[in-house]
Amino acid sequence: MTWLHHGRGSGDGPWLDEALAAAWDDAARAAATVVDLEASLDVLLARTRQPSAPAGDAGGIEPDRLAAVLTQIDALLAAVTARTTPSQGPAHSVSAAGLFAAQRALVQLRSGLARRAMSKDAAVAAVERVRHALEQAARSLRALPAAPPAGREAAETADVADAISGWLGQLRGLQTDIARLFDDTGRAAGLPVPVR
Amino acid sequence: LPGWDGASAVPPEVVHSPSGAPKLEDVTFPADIGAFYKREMPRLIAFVATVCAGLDVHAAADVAQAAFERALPRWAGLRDPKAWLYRVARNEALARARAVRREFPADVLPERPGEASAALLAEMHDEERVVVGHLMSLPPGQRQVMAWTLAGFADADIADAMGVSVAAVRQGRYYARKSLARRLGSAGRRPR
Repeated sequence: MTWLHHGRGSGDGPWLDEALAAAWDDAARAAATVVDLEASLDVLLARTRQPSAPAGDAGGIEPDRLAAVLTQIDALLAAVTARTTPSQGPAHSVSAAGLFAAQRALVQLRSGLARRAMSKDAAVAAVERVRHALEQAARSLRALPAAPPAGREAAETADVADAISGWLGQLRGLQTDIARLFDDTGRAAGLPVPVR
Repeated sequence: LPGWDGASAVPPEVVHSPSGAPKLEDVTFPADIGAFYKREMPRLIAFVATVCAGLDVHAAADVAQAAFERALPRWAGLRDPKAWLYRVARNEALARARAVRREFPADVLPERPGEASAALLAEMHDEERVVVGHLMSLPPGQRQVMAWTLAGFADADIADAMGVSVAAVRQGRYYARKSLARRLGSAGRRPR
């Protein structure tokens, strides 16, 4: 391999080359366990042969859009999940049920889109479930007894409320992007098929 | 890395190609594309996950598949399909990281040195997991040089892809290897 020659003279021994080569091979082997290579290859070849690309489509535009949508969902999911950790305070506790419901709906949305197993209506409905859950969490926060304005609990409540408000804004953009994903392509995007 | 200021999201072949991609009906797949895909796709996923340490393995797989989908219609006209593929994947991964950075606050940035996809690490063997963990914790520039190197690319290709000098590539790898040797050595984990 080319890289084996790069380390010569750098002061470390061949053991490092061996360790890196073994780790790289193992990482590739591990990556191969999360993707169904046969099915993903079929998807790839079918999409590349598909003759009905709309005007202006140079090939590969739709997967990019879906990938961008999945990235948005992943980041939203990470942000919501970070707030579901127990024992963060009363504001987190009362909003937890809504946040868990939002988290669950986001996971379903992500999974359905990535597997190309979700219709536009189902995707929009999933986004609505996320919105409903977040609004429920926001209502729970508003129902909390008023805390001293300068206290830690008031600051925590404001912090969680700001986060939920931000997510609801991001959700509007996400809903638009998901609708355009289906409207513009008329077909599901070609992402790799995960191992089931 | 000195002089590295990131790269455009689209490789030069896409931006500057006068003819663009061929018509889809003209596409002829190379006979060995299936074998190439099955061999290279997992390695490309590992590469993407290493270059952009905050992407989980599923997002890395999405990026790798998108790169293949872009490359395939152009395959016959590519001077070095593998290099083109890796460059597209790397640029796409960094573009996705930048897009998330614009949309979300700093606490959910995808590019956080030291992170690695838990799903990927969970599938790995113990010693190799330690090595990859240290690889992932390198500064981004050094980590990229190591990922390109481990993927089998020559210094000139790496420099071209990253938009830095060959000397900067060698320097990045020197410090990366030194750091890895120290960390792995001190942990008493010299394999084999």
